[in-house]
Amino acid sequence: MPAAMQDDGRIHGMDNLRALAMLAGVVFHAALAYSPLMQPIWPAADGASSVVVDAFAWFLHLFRMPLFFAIAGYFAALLVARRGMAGLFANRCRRVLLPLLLLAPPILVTMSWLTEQAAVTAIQPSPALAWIRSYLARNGHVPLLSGWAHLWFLFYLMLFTVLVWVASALEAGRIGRRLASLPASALVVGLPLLLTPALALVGTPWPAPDFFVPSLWALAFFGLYFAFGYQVFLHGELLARLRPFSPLLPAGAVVAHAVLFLATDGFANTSPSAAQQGWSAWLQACAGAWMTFWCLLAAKRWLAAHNAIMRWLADGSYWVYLVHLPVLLAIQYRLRDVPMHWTAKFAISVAATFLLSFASYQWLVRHTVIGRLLNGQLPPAPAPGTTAGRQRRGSSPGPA
Amino acid sequence: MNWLASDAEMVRKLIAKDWQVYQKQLAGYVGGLLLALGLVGMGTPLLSAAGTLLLLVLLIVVGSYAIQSSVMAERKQQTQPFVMSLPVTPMDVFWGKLLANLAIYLVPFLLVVGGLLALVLTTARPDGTVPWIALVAMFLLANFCVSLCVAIAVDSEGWNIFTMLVLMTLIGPFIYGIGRLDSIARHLQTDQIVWSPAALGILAGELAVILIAILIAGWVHARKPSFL
Amino acid sequence: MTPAIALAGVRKQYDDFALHDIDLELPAGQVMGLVGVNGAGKSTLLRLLMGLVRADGGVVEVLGQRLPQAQVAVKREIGHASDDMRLYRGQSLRWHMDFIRGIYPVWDEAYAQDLLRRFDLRPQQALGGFSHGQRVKAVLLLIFARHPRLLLLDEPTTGLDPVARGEVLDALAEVLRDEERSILFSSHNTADIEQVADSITFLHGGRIVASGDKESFLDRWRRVLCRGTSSDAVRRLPGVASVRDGAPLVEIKTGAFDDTTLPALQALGLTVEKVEPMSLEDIFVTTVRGSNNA
Repeated sequence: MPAAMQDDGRIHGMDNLRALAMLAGVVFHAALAYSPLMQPIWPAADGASSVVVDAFAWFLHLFRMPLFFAIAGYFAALLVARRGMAGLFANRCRRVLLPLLLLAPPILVTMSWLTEQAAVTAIQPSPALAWIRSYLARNGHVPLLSGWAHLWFLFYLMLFTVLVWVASALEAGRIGRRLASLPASALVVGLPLLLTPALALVGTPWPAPDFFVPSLWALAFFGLYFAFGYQVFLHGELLARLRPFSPLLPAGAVVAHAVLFLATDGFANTSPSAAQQGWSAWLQACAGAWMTFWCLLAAKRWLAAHNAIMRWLADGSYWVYLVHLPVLLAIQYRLRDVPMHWTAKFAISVAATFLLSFASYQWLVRHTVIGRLLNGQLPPAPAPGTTAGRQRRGSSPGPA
Repeated sequence: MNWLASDAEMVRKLIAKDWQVYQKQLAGYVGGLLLALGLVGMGTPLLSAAGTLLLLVLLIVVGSYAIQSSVMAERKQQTQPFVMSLPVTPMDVFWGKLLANLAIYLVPFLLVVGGLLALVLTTARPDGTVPWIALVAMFLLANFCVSLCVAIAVDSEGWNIFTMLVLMTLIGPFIYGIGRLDSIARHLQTDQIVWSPAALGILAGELAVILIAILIAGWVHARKPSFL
Repeated sequence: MTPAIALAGVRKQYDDFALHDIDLELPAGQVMGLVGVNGAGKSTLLRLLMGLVRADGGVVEVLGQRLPQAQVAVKREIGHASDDMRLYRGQSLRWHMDFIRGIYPVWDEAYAQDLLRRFDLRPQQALGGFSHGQRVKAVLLLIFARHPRLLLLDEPTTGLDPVARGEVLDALAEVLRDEERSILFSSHNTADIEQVADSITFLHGGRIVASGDKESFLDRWRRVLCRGTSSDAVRRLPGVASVRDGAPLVEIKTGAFDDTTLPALQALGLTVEKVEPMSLEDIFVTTVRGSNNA
């Protein structure tokens, strides 16, 4: 294990990176209302849309959740190192399973209710809302939710925790060590190739696997990122070996995304041939993997310092991500019928969602039992003048 | 002889011991279950069917394998004398084996069956299959319990394997039979969940079989004159 | 003081074997060696004492408690090792030690570490990789380190090389320094019994053929070489177990040698050439052959 100071710095960097990934999710989900691709499907879809939104939002999508699962793998390895397998399970059940079981029902029910209200009251319903309205008229109730909505990541986190135990009992650590010792170029080229088969099984861009029953492609795809993050913890030099590629990674990712975007005509190609599916999968994998590498390297360099504001944002990010979608939908359903340029609507919905979510965090959650459930016991505020990073009690707050 | 375990703490230690000794096999089993579930979750007809088949195979075959390795292997590998030299009564060992194997089987079993029921209830698949799923699931559970009880109570490896094989061959006819039962077949394609008297009767019968198997095995085990 | 072991009229019937009328007592603080051929019933006797087998008749009392009723209390205080006992192949010795330590609060970790060193065992190695001798020593370590009041050992030194055998006997001797602790061990190896035991029991065909303390055994048995011819009268002398007529010498083995033996032989016309003590092994073989002929 590296020296405490270094270790502390890495933990802060990962914490902050995870927070950014989750908060970026708020921006992403807000953007979906103005995405041409999502117009037919997204209930909060506004009439106005722009291809610019698609270009940026889907780029974010390609690496946001992969990055999150890589960080989750890193923290899983940390928990196992500090507390053993039983400690990992205890921690994940407290921080992930319990919130999922307790908070999913009210959150999902709220979203369902909000959508029903919107379907009934919208002046110019989006295609999805119109369909819900007609379903309501025919059946007297909205269609039953058959998935976890945006909380699917908690479900998969629990599954990966189980898989950590499976892998360790079956002594898969040897494979991990072999792969982690490969040269960096092998990783840069190899990880996208490994990810491609899983992505080739689903549409482009890959959908959120929010069904109650886990999907094999998602287990493999996010599982590989999780395993990569696990190895990053176990082998400190892994990231350092990738550093020489640092400037090429974001450039390569952008290029891959651009090629994909143009080749599929903004993802509009809904019936690709098998070859096209393969290429799309590979390009998505490249963009996702390279941006993930780059984000991890950047976090280590720029986000590692302790910063009170970042700390507070990181603490709040879990709760904010859990509740942001109902809040966002409530706001965007209202905004739909307001005549305003979509950029203004986008800015307002993002700002308002953040404000309301963080406000609810600060006053309703941070110092209550919910806050303890999500983040563990908050340590006392550091005395003024201390510069060293704080060691959290119940370390690894939040879901990852 | 006293039927209940003499010492709950010792029973707990025996279960923990079994868990640690058979962790590798268990991990493989769970991994296989997740793979099967993943296939079902893919949604396409071919992969879902493959996943369901794999689930069924795992729940049947691996359940038997678990019994075999944790109960029968103790005899074959002669770790039984070691366990019996500990401060335990034979009934402690009985309850330890029974509870350990039930837990090992029930946790994934309940998750899979629960998942299947959730799948049926929340998607477009006809809800009328719920009683059918419940009856088949309970039959698999009853099979497992009977195999387990026979393995613990009877020391002969030959009889244990014979029992397991016989029970396995009954699964096919049972599934076929209840599919043909009028009160169930009528609703299989509909969305109505109907618990007919026949279905409830079969369910009660399956539960009774489980209870009787445990009672008989406990009685037989308690009266054994020799434990080696 | 209550005896460590008290068997009275114990019987056990199997399909092709039976233990009859076992009356045995082992006072506390003593070592008894149980000698018998394969199939004599040694293992069955030990299992009865562990409560693993329920007797068909008679009373089995260990450390003052009745078996099989009090088997849990008794098993807390006794240690049993037998040849058909195996540990979990996939687990390490350390795992077994931790397992036993969790069950027996009296586990002595310091002594266990000492035994690890003396027995030359590697705690992190899986039991599947142990040789026979190492396995035997591992089982014994798990027993010795919790200082049981009574040890029931079924052939503890069988199959061990001389070095390992010496280590085990040393550890047994350490147990014996505590006057409260008793040992009953069975063996073919009469040399071990001669070295360690206070009393000896011969078991043959499910019966106790002879039982008594070691010194009196060795005192009572003699091999007498005489010149002359043997006769039926010689065979009928009390205590004579075998008479071998190998002209010109007659070899007589008797288990009741005292001051009257030699005069009695001379009265029957034999000239005593030599009187030798007999080894335990010889006594055992003679006794068994004698009961076979009876």
